[in-house]
Parts: sequence; structure tokens; C-alpha cells
Amino acid sequence: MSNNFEVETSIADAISSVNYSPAAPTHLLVSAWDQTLRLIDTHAGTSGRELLSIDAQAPLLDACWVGGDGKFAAAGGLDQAVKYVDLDRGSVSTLSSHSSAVKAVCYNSDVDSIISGSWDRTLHLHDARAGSTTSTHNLPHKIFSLSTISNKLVVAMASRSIHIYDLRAMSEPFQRRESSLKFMTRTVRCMPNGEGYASSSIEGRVAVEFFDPSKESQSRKYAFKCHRQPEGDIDVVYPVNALAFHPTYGTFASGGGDGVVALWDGVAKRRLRQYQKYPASIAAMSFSNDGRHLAIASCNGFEDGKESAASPENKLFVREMGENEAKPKSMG
Amino acid sequence: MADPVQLSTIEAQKENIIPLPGGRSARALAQSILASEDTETQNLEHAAAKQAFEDELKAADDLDDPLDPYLRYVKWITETYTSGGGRLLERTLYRATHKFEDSPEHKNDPRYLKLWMTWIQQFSDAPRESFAFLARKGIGASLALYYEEFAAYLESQNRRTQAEEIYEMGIQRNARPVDRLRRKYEEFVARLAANPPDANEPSSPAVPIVRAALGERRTDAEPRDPQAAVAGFGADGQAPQKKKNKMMVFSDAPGAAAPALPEQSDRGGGWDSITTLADRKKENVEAPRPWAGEILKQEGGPAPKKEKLQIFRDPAIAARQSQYESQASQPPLTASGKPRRPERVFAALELVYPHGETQDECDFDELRARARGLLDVDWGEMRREDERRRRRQQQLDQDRAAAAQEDEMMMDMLGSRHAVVEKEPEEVYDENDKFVTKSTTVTLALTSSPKAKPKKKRRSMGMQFSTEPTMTMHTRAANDEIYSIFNQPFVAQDDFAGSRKKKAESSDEEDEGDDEEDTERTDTMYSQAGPATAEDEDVDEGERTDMLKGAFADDEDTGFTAVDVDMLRSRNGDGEDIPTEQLGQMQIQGEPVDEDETMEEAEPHTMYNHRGSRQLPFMTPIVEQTESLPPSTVRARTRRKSTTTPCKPGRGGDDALIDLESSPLQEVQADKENAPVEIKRSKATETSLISFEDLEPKKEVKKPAGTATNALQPKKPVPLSKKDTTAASAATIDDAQCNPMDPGVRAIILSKLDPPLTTFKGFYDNSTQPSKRTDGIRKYIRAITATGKDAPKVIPSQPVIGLENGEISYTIRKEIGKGAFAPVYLVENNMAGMYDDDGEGEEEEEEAAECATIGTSRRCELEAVKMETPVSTWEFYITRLAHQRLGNDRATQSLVRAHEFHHFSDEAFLVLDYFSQGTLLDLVNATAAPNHVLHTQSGTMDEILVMFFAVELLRTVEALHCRGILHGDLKADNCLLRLQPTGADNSSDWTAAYDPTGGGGWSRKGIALIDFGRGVDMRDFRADVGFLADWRTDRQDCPEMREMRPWTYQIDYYGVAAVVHSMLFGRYIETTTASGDGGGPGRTRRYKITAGVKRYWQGEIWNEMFDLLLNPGMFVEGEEGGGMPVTGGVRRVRGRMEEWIQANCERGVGLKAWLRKVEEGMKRRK
Repeated sequence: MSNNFEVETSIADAISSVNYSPAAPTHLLVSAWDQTLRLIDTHAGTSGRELLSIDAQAPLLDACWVGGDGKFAAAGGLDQAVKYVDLDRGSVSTLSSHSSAVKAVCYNSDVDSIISGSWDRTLHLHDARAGSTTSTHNLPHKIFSLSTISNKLVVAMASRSIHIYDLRAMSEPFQRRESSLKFMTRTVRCMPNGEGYASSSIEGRVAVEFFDPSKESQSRKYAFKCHRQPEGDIDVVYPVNALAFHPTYGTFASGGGDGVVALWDGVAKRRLRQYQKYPASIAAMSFSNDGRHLAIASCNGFEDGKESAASPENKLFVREMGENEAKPKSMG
Repeated sequence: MADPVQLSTIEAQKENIIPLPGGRSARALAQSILASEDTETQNLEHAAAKQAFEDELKAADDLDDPLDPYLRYVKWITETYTSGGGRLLERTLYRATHKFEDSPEHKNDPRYLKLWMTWIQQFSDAPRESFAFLARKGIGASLALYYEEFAAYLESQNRRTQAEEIYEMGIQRNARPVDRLRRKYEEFVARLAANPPDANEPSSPAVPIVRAALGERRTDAEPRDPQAAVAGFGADGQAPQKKKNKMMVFSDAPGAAAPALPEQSDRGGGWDSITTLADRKKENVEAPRPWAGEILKQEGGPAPKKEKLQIFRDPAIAARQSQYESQASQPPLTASGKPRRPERVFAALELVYPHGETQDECDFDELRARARGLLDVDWGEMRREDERRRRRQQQLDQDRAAAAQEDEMMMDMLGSRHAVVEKEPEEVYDENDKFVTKSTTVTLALTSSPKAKPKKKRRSMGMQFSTEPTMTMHTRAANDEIYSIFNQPFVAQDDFAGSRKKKAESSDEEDEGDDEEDTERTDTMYSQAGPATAEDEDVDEGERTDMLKGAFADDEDTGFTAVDVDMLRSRNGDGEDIPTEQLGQMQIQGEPVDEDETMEEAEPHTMYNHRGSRQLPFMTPIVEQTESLPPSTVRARTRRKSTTTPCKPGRGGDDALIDLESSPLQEVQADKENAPVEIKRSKATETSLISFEDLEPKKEVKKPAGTATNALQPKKPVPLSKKDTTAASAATIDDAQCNPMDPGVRAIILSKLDPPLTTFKGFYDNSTQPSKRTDGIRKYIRAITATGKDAPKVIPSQPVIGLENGEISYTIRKEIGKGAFAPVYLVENNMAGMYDDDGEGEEEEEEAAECATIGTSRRCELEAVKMETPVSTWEFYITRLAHQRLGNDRATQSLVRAHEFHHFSDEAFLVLDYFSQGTLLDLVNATAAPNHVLHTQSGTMDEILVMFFAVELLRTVEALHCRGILHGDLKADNCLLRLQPTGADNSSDWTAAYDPTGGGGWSRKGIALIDFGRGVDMRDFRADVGFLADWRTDRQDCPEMREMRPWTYQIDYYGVAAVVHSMLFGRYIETTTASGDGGGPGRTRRYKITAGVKRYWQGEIWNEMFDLLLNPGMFVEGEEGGGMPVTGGVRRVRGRMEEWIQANCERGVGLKAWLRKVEEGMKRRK
């Protein structure tokens, strides 16, 4: 049985990312536009508790855990700086500065690197341990989303461009691809099994692609429609803002601008579940490391270029996943 | 005999009747036409008749004359179908002719031949070939008709040689009737003689020599069928497709080839039959195929029509629409045949793809950041600012300690003189005449003389503030400061009401009381100030008041109604310096700020505040800075003041602290002050300055401001020019680098004038006597602006400034402008009528050179008087000089005229033109003010209006620069609107079409530059001079200044850019270096504005303009002399603008209508 509850937070502005800790299944790292990076225990008490909040001086656009022990994090935001946060001490240091806002950060455990991508069309690689920038890579477009698994790094950029890097050989992209979706790429997430990635676009489509350049692998790629709401005779197509892969089953959740979260079986190409509508656009999602919780951030997504200062619906929900809720059908 | 045929029946149809060579029977025609009126019956009849003929034809073979039924059938067809037999006739003729083509008995049957002729004439696509075919078949070989027709045809084709051949052939064969043929031939020969055949005419045999078609040569032993090979080739199918572009050779389908080839090879050549037209064109006919799965090409149907009227489509919008279209243009049917529901993308695609698809789209986060104004925030700068703030705090702590020590030292140094000052302040004038400087005034202000105190104190504060670079006002921190000033009292008021009351009661004099009250309240605002002394508070108050003044438009702008003036007044103490209207304005302007603050109160110093300041609802004028005092005098004075105040010794540190807290930029000055280099230099300067005074003790009453301070305070930073050398040199300033606004430099220039300034017309030198008129004027202004409880019971009568023994007098109306040094009053010129009567004549008598300009100046009833304390003759001089240099140039109209200058020892009156319509800044603010008539949706001025004013500015600046004059202080509040009436009703002599030359009344519309107080005459300096500004610079100063590079004309170019920028965007100019270059030191950077030109604007023109104005140094090539000023470039830009205005001035609202609107709208301010 699934259970959905709201986490009480002091988040005063739109949430940009949520990430469950790789170590503790209830620790959630939340970055938001209110210039604060928070660490929240989603299951403390009845509706969670903020463990830590760190002032970042500028709206944050993304954050990620660094290392596997859940003690460090990295964040980036509009102030163009990539920040390294020691959550135990609550200290913040700046890893590097981009020349435009930092849109995405991610951490790769294989090479122990923090990777940051910015609208300035560069990718910075930082050595997580030394806290230094190891390399900078120029890309042709603004970076919108990053995701990494094993030695692969997927960089989703403007103009529907996607580069896949091999983190061991960063001098050249391993593959240069064009998104199979027609519109702007919103987010990209790698499959936990490292075979491929899913990307979503602003017009209600999710594409599933595979790294393997072989013909039969490529022929497996597909895209499907989702997050559409009938409105009279027409379908209103919402952006798919968030994707999250289930760490064990490899199924994934998609969250759209319509406030709907759906669970998909990428192998069987079937929808497993669709949850009730959340009050506002889904901005970010994350499965806990044990796959039992799904954190869902719901807030104004600025999809229509509007936001009302009056009623900021910045809410954080956690959905408790049932035993087999995210299990693909094929696995019985 | 039947009735004659009614010709009218035929007449109506005659255009539908095909003429026959042999003519038509009228009766038959009439019948056919009449019958055609009843289509149904007619159709039936025809069908029956046709059937009858067909039956007959079937049996024709049995007839003796099988040709007969054909003939009759054809005849019937031609008669019945008057408008042409069409396919029926063709078919019938074809059947008839081909049935008998091999029948020898019909070969020379004239009836049969006639059928052929009809067919050839009407239906043959290649008559010559048909004739040739007949010749080959021998049909009509002995009939003259054949030869005649063939020859006639050839002749009509201009093949007369061949026609002759045909005739000859016919005659030779004795074709009957041979006589007729001969006759025809003779006629032909006659025609031929009259019109001999061209040499170019084809002379090949008319009837080709019989040879197998397509050269079936008999060289091969085995006769072969060429067609078979072709057919085989075609059957292969693949080969011809290789080269698609070549013509496809048609070949019959393999199975269908047979009928066309009736044992041709046996027959030995040529055609056996001339088949039907359809048959011969069979390659054009598509074989029938099943329609299933066929795609029908829509040919010719919805072909793109040429649009007659080109409708303008915004490319950007089109690009955006294409997004939607791509959605819509998907095929309506999917492969599965299920209809696809139309979709609408929820996301704001036009925002996501602002540049179309060519450039990178914008993420939602980016959109959000942009919407919140966070995208262009210079975060590095913010970080640095934070850093600075932190350092400043440290510095302050150090400073405080150091200052206390210094003060003690100075006390010792100054010693006895200050004791005198303290006791008898008035004596300072007498005893130390040459020290009648600001610093002296300050000293006075600090004395306890109750009479002098309120006025002088305030003045001193004004000065103090002005010495701080006015740019302070525009930093974010400063704005925050202002906002916090507005907000705090609301909270603090009640708490301190009690103490204030007590104070007020205890005070003897009203003014005093107010001051006290003020100071008390100031305490509450600057809570960090701790227990403040009276002097401390004075500093605060003066500064705050000036900040208020600076922060908001400094004269009456009654676009706003005064709301709750009382509350504000209570905050402003006696309110004497702030006119009522201004209070109202402050109130209004404060409100949006309040909103911001409440929203962002939680984090007052985070970036949110910058959002507030970036979107500042109104622009504030740059506070006037007539003089450039060395920055440190502030500090010096503050400190000295405290040392000279007997009751509060040693509090200088606190003073400094308060100063610095309230204005972050002072910190830098403090830093400067502490620099050891400065201290070393100061000694030399001091001596040099004193030597000036020795040179010019009388004329330049206003001594260089720094002098006295220097004498007393050996810590003043030094003006960069080397005074000792300049003093020694001749009239020109020979320094390669100097500060042109330095008082010392100016003093030299003024001293070298020939004729001297005193001889200028309108210069009244009373420098030996004090004027003492200020008090009365100030009292009056205070009285008329005060209302409520502060209002005096008796309003004093309007003060009249009588000058020159009553020869000239002005009645003060009101205060229209407040400078830090120089309030400006609207005055009534009591002598205006006199001037009008005989003014011109009187002025003609004057002979001095500058009178040329004055001669053109007619005096008006209303004029402006700028009251300057301390006295500066510079503005008068430069204004006059500009007029003199420009002469009758059109730009002269765009310069304010300086009519008179009255020079007293303590103050001076500069009489100027009065323009009632306010400044460009007022206009910009009016446009942004939501309730103003001039408010536009965008909040910024219409582009054409901006361009108009830009042209005016450029023209004026260009003219000034041509003649070596810099304005030096170009900003929107120094540009007055000059929309003068044209004609009787203000539009009669004013054309709607813009005339860049000023014709059609356009010269009456424009701007007028005021405030030449910082003007520079380049001819006083070396040609290669570079100026250095020694004041604190900010964004309103040109990049050269900010980067401590030498500048000259750049100051004005940047000023123009700033003014145009504020008009165009409604906010202050911000520049950045263009990306890509400018990294390394020594490289010239290219500046550009950070604001983006809207896409529907004339981006090219604006960008060119800004590029030129911000980087004039890059455009010096091609200029006269290869250096500044870039007059040519400015003129070019202006030309483009003028062209554009000319082309577009009547589009939309129209420029004239706009200007009228501005005129009306700005009139209402009064």
C-alpha cells in the first residue's frame, strides 16, 4: 500500500532539486530558490524535520550528494558558483565559478568527481576530495541537465543536443546525439543499470535511449507521450520536469507540469501507476536509496512564464512505495 | 419555297458557328440553332441520327459506293454541330479516311481526298507529314486538289521553294483539273516574284524520299526490326532509370507493341498508316491503373499564389508560431488511422524560444531568473561588495582609533586661530579674507551663534554632501539606505515622540526647536550612532535631507498629489528645505519601496534588494555638483569641526563613523586619505595654491576650495595638475594631464581672459560688498512651501532682488531647483518690458565680442536665477563662451542663455533663461509614473521621441565639441525641454513631417542644456591633453574616468549615451565590456550597454550610436586630425537617425503628436 504525506518545511520559494541521501534512506537534500540548501529527515516525527539549512546567498538550481556517506554535498545556483558543502560542519566553500548560472551539478562515484554544468556552456569537473577544479569543457549549448552513472556522463543541453561523455576520457564526447524529442530537453536521468538514460522534454514526452551504439541497441530506443490533460477538444501538453529511476527495479517515475506523477516500466513500455494530482507542477523527484520512498517537490514551475507571489505552493511530499508498487510487471 | 431564314436567329449565335470553306446552308444553320434551344429533344434526335448513320456505316461495305455514308455522316455532323464536330467528327473522319487508304479505287476519288483534306486541316498535328503520307500512299496523286492544298499549306509555312516543287510535281503528273492547277501555279509564281523566297527557306524535297523510317538500313544481311530492340531495352526497365534527368524514352508496353508493327520490315519503308492523334501521342496518356494506394498529386490546385500585398510578419513571432505550427502540421492521421487529438503545449513556448529556433532556448529556471531580474546580476561584484563591506568594518575600527589621535594633534597645530574663530565667527571674513572658503563656513556653522546657526549649518551640510561624489546615490547600498530611512521612522516615531516633545518645548526658537527635534529623531534612525552630539546629528540631518533631495526629483513635480504631508513633514523637521510638492512626491515614491521592503524584509541585504533597486520606479536626478572638491575635505571638515567644537572634543571618530555608515563610498575616500603618498604631495600643492591667490587675489574671490583646508589640514589629496608649472605658464594650461575642474586651473584660465570677465555684458561686479539677500529669499521660500502647523502666520511679501541701485530687479516667485550649492529660483523680471521696448537697439550699441550672443537674447518675463554660494564665475563664463563660439549655429538655441551675473562677496546671482517644461528626467519619470498622462504601457518613452531628443542632443554636443567646448555634466536633469510655441496656436507653423534642418517649425522644438558649471574650454589646454578626474567615479561617469584613464570628449559622449539610455530604457546606463576582447591590460576594451535593445526598435541605429558614444576612441580614424572629437561619427549617426525619423515621423501616433502630448503633459506640472 502506498502512503503519501507532506513534509513540513520552511521552504519559501520554488524547489529546484531533491535528492535522497545515498547513505540514509530518509535524508533528503533540497535545494531551492530561497537561497537555501536544506537537509531534511523526511521521516522524523510525523511530517519530517529540517536537520540543517545552509544559506547559499543566491537561488540554487541544483544540488547533489558527494561521496557515498551522505556527509557532503555540492550545489550550484544563480550566483554562478559551485559550492561544496560539508553537512556535518555546515561549512560552505566555493569549488569554482562559472560565468553564468550553474544549472546542474552531479557527482560520480567512479571517478569521485563533482560535475557542474552551467548556462555559460561549460562543464566543470571538480575533484571532490581535493576541492579543486580538474578540468573545464566547452560545450556548444547551455547545459540543462546532467546525469551520471558508472563512467558515463549524460549532458543535456539547449537546442536538443545531448552529449554523452566517458568520464575516463573527457577530452571528447563519447557520443553526440540529438534528442529524439522535438522540444527543449527538460531533464535527463541515467538508468541505474547503466545501459541508457531517459530524457524528458517540455512537451509531454519521455524518451528512453541506450548508450550502446550498436544497431540493435539503438533500435530499442523509444519515446512515449505522457502528462497530457484533455481540455475540451484538445490535449494540453505539460512539460515533464522530473524523472527518477527506482534504484533497484529500474522503473522510473515522471513528474510533469500538470502536477501528476506517473510510474513507468521502461522495459515493458507500460505505465505502472499514475498518482493523484499534486497541487502544483512537479519540480523534482527522488527515490530513496532503498527504493521505499519517493520524494516529490511540487511548486510553481514557471512553465507558463508566470508566478504569483501571493500563493507560493512550495510543498514537499513523500510517497511511501509499497513492496511491489514500483516492481515491473514482467518480474511478476 | 419555305420562308426565308430569319437571320436574327443565326445572328445571335454566329460566334459559335465554325466557318466552313464551302459555306453553310442558312436553313440548316437556323434549324440546328433553333433545335439547340431544346437540348433534351435535340440530344435524343442526334442520338437517333447518329445511330442511323452508324448502322449504315456497318453495312457500308455492301454498298456500291461505300464512301457515300461516310460523306453523308460527315456532312451531317458539320451541319448539325455548328460549333464544331469535335471528337465525333474526328473519329468519323479518321474512320473514313483510314478505311479507304489502301483502296486503289478511292485513291483518286476527289470526295475521298476532300475527307482527308478536312481531317488534315482540322485535326492533323503535323499536316506536312500527313501530306507526305498521302503522297506515299498515292492518294490524290492525280488530283489537282491535293497539290493545291499541299502547296498552299507549304506556302503558308513559308516553304515556298517546296510549294513550287509541289505545283510542278502536280503539273507534271497532269493532275486534273490541270488547268486550274496551272492557274494556281501562275498565281503562285506571281506571288513568288513579288516576294522572292528567302535563302534560308528549307529546300529539301517537299515529299521526303521514301526511306524506311528511322533509317532501317539494309546493310545488315538480316533485316531487323529496330522497334524490337527498343522494346527489349524498355523491357529491361532498369537501365534508363540510372539517369533520371534525361528524357525518358517511351516505349510501348511489351505486350501492346504488336498492333503498331504490321510486318513493317517486309514493306520496306515508311509508314504504313498514319494513326490517330491519340495513338501517336500515346506516350502522353497514362495507362489506367487501379487507384488503390495511389497518391494523387495535387497539380495546379492550391498552387502558392503570389501575394500581391506583402503583409509584414515579425520574424520572431513567425518563428514562435512555427513552433505551434509544427505541432499542428503533423498529419492528421496516424499510421494506425486513429485521429490524433490536437495538442496545446502548456509551456510558454514564445518565452522558451525567444530567439526562434536558431539560438539556444531558455530553461524555465532561466525564465524565472530573468523575470525576477536575477539573471544580469553581477554576482562577482556582489561578492566583492560583501568583501568590501567586511573590510570597511575593519578599517572603521582602525580609523576610529587613528582619528582620535589625529584630532588631538590638530588641535595643537591649529591652536590660536581657532580660538578666535570660536569666539568671533564673523571676524573670519575680515581678518582672513583669503580664507573665505567653504571650510571657513563650516567653521562658522559650528559656532554657537544662535542667529547664524540654522542657515549656515544647513548650507554647510549641503556642501558637505556635495563634496561626496553625488554618485553615491546610485549604488544599491545607497538606495537601500534611503529606503531604510523611509521605513524606519514609522516604527520608531512613537517611541521617541515623548522625548521629542520635551525637546520642542524647551527650545526657545522655533527653528532651533525643529532642529533639535530633528536631531533627536535622527538618533533613532541611526541607532548605531549611540549617544550623539548635536554636531553629529547635524551631520546626519544635513546629509539625510540632501539625500532626500537627491533621491527625488528636485523641483515641483505635481504629477503626484501630496498625501499625508503632515507625517512626512514631521519626519523632515522644519521642512524648510523641502517644498510641499516634494514632500508629496517623496511620499508617493516611498510607497513602492515600502512594498519591496516588506516583501524582502527578512533578508534586507541579499540580492532581493537589488531587484528593488534595479526596478527603481523612478529615476532620481544626479545631485548637482557644481564644484569638484577634493573628496577628503568631507572627512577633514568633519574632523575639524569636532575639534573646534569646544563642548565635544575628541568625538571626531564617531563623526566619521556615522558618515561612513550612511554612505558606503566615503570609505574609499577615507582609504585615499590614509594613503601616505597623498600626504607627501600635499605640501607642494599647498604652496602652489597660495601662489595663485597671490596672483589673483581680487578677481577670483572664490578661492580654490582646497586652499584653506590645506592650510589647516595637511592631509588633502592633491589635484593631479602641477600648479606651480601652470602658474608660471601663459594663458593655456600646459599640462599633459590635469583635472579641468580644478579650481586652480580655472582660476588661471579666468585670470588670463582678454577682455577680462568683468567687461562681459551682464557681468556686474560687486565683489567688494556682500549681498546678504539670501536670508530674505530663504525665509520667503520656507514660508510659501510650509503648510500646516509649520506655516507662519504671516507670509512675507515676495522678495524683490534689487540690483545695481534698483536698475535691475527681480521678484522671486518660487524655488525651482535645488543644487547643493546653488538653489535656482523662478523670478519675474521686472525689467522685461523695458528690454522688449528698446532692448535690441540698446544692445546693438555694445561692441564687445560677446555681445553678439546677447544681441540675440530677448529677455522674458520669467527667468531663472541661480544663486551661487560660494561664488563661482565659471558657469557664467562657459555659458557665454559657448554662445559666443557657436554664434548663429542652430545649436545655440539648445544652450541656456546666461543673461546676467551679479557678483557679490558672499553670493552671486546668475540670471538664466527659464524653461517651464522641466527636464528630460522629468519626462522619463512622467512616462514611468502610472498616473501621468504621458505614461506609456512600457513605461519608457516612445522610440521616435527618444530618437528625436537624441538627435537634438547629438547635434548640440557636436556643435559644442566642434568649437572646443565640453559640457562636462551631461545628464538627463541637465537637459531642459525646449518645446517652444510655433505660430499662433502652436501648431500652425509646424509641419507634421520632420525636418532635420529645423524648417517647418522644428527648430523651435528641442532641448536646452543647462549647468555649464563643469564645462571645459578645450582651447585652454594642450591639443593632446588628457584629463583626469580626481573625484570618486561611478556608473554615471565614463569608463575612462572609472579606469583612471585620461579623458576629454568622452565625458560628454558618455553623458549623451547615459541620457539616451535613460530615455530609452527608463533606467540608468549600465555598461559592460563586450565579451571576447578586453582581457589583457593595455588592450582597449569595447564597451556596450547591458540592456538589450528591443527587437522592434531600430537596433542597428541604437547600437551604432552606443558603440560610438561608449567607445569614441575606436572611431577616431577618419576624423579630422585623426583624433577626438569624433564629430564625423556623431554626425553620421545623427544623419541616420534623422533619416529614420523623417521616414517614420508620421507613422502611428506621429512625432509631432507625441511632442504636442509631451508639451501638454509637462505643462501640467506647474
